[in-house]
Amino acid sequence: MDALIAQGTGRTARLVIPWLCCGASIGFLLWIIFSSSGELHPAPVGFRRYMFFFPVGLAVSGVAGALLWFFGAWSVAGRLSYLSCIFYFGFLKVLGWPFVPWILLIVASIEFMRTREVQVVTRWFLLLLHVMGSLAGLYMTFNLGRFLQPWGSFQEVVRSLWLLVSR
Amino acid sequence: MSILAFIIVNLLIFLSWHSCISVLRKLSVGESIVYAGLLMAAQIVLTELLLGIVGALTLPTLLTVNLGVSGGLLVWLVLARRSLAAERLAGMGREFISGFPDVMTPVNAALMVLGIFLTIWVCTAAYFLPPRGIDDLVAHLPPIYQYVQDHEISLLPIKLRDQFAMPQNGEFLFLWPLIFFHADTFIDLVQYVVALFGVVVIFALARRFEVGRDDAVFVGLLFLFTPLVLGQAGSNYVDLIVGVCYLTLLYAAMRFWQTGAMFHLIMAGIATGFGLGIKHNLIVAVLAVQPMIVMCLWRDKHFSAAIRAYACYVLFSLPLGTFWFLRNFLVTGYPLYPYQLDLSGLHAVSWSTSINFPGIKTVTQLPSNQALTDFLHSPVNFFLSYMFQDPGLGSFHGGFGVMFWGLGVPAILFCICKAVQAAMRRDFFPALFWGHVPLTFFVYFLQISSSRLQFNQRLILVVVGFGLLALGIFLKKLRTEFPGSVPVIRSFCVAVSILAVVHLAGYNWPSMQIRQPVADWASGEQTTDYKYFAQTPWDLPLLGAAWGPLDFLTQSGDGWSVYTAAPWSVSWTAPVFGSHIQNQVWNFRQEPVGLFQQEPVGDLRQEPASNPDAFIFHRMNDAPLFFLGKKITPEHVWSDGRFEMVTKTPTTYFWVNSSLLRDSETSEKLVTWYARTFASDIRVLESIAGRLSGNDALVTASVWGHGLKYLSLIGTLKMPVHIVPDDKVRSQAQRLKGQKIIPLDKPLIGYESNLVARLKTSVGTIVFYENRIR
Repeated sequence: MDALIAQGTGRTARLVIPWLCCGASIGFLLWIIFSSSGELHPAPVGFRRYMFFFPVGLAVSGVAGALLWFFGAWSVAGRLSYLSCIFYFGFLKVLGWPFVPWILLIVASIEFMRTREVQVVTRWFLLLLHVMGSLAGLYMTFNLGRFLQPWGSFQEVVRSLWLLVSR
Repeated sequence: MSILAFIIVNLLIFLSWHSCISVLRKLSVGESIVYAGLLMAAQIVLTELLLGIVGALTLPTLLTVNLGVSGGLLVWLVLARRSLAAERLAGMGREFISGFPDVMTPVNAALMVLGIFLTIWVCTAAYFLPPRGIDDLVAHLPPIYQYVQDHEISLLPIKLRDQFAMPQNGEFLFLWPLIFFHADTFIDLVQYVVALFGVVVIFALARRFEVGRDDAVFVGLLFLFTPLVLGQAGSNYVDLIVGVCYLTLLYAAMRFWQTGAMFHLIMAGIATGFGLGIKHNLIVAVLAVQPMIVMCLWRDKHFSAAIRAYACYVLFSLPLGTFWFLRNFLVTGYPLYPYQLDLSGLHAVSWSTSINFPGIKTVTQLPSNQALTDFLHSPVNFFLSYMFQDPGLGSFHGGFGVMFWGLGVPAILFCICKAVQAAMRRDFFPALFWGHVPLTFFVYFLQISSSRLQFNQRLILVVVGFGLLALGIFLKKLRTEFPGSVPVIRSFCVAVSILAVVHLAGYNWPSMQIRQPVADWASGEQTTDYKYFAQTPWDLPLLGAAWGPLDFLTQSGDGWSVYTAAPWSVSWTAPVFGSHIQNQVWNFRQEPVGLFQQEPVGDLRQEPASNPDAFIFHRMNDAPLFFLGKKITPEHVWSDGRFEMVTKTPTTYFWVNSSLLRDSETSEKLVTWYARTFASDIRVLESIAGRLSGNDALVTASVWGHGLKYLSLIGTLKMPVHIVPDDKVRSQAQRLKGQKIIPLDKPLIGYESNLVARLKTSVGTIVFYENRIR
């Protein structure tokens, strides 16, 4: 990694992360656009479709990244990583959540405008944090529905325990 | 009262070891709990093992021996080391109290509250629901049920299941509450207690990596809320015990590396022996720990001292680790049965397969290393798919959860990178420690085909512990580099922990739903736990229709001898024993084989003198019945004429000797069983009972037969009701030689028939015909 990021290329490191995040995000966005709503719910089918759009997203964001690099717009590239996160939560919108995705969008947009420069204290830690955020976001994207599906059963469990305690 | 006694006995054993090791060495709170827990488990299993070998495995003997050992330890402490023990324990108490405010952060408090809720839920489920994990019923529980009845360890017929010959140290932990209560009520809690112990082990490990107390408690608690751990905790699988034992072994080995003290090496020896006696897959773990131990001995001791120390390690691993291998070698010729290790690799050696499926060779190759091949063929696709589909999620088979795949995996990669850097500086411990993770995955992928991943993730449950430990280390670093990110990560973990607990309500393997049992309890309509097999998958609800009444009718007596036959894949025997282990499986009750006597391959042992009291048959599609012991078919039982069918489903028959049902207490219980189980049917049928009277008998293969039989037993319907197999209605009518026979749904061929009643129900119309002999 150090060899790839030679002197003065801390900026490049900042570019790599948004590039990957944006790639995933754009891929996700394309998946949403080109998939019918029914296809989004069963994760394995949607997953295969997403795996098709992921490299497309990477290619698109690669071009964008190259342009940003050419113009030296490091801060813009850095800020993109904030925006990229909201796409992982776009799935909430697909699931039919009415407010939360919009709140996420607003928060991310405010953060995008507020951050003038991404402070890279330690490249490795930033990279790992992004990887964690992306993996956790993607995992929840594909599995959140499964986790919430037994909500009704869980309520029955709580009611039963309450019945036991209250008698 | 007995619950309180059980808790006191366990506390006494734990505290005796805790006090003892606290006197021997100055230990931290976490370390003392880890070692006291290990020693307590070792004592319980070892005493059960020894008493089982000599045929004295009874509750009084077991309690006497255990209380004697623990009482002896406490007496020694009081007489010889009273002041030191008091000083050490007081110091530990002060450490605990002073550290408590530090760990009670809002996030940890939230997890603890969630943990309390989970504990109440799991205890309630264990109390109301039967053991219901499929491998529980197939292999883990029948042997220990048999040991409780026989008071000795024996080998159940491996013709039925190879797994009967597997090591059983894990099952011996289930045996502890089982033999105490002589009931299966609390055995589902054992793995949950092990999960709580795992929380402490991870905390202790994290502390040794200099993770702050706050974060160490945090990652320890997260272990409890891993989807796989939640699923395993309610079952009688042993994978959670395997994983926690592995982590305990690593802890002891790590402490030996850090201190060079023999005390820790002895603890590692005990953990090694305990682990080897749980499941074969810990052999790899034990081998992987050896470099850590050997290098430490090489570093710290002279050659002869190192040999002595290593011999001591091996010696302490022998009592718990060797019995099962020795037994299998003497009985089957293969110490690792049903596996064989030779120069060409690991093979499956299945007598069960060779006997029941003669076309298959005795020695079969293990499945090809398909998962590893798939991984090497397309690593990115394989990894992403593996990660995000999280094989086995929502069951005790798998599901590492987002905390592992999202946070733990990057943190492990971080730790491995640091370990490599440390190794370059000639500090090999981190590499030896974190090397266990890739090794575990490598061996797993080498053995498992991709299609089996969703059933076998539990085999590598230990990696969850590694992931959480790595997360703790990463959080420690983050606190200096990006402090603002720590609350975000911790809050996220709390949120997904809540989601994991919600998710648990939807599990089928094992079902944790308590709505129906609690409703029955509240209304006083309880019968038996086995009723709730109805909320489990596969053929369990169908078989539960037989196991339920069997258990309910026999709970208070001496139990019955029950013959059971089903297709091999669904030959599940554990519930036949009953919830109070009151019944005998007739098929197992053959001439006892000595502990080390050669199992006769393919031949049956001599049959018992007495005939079965009851029969359970189950069919699945067109699969042939698997007979263990004498071949008795449903046709034989029906022809015999002495047995009365109590319950029946389209696939399951339950017959009981009529003379047993004539006993007044049993008869009353049968009435109660019908009343509580078929209440809605009975309400429908009551209206028509009067119109059917005046006939000689009612013969039916319909599900309505249970309600009609109830009405007959209480005298509302004034004629006997015979429930018979589907194809035996006419034969039964002929056997009865009555003048007027009533069947349901269609008239009897060869009789003069009149329609006497038609009853409309929510599920269709029931038609009653009166049939007279022409």
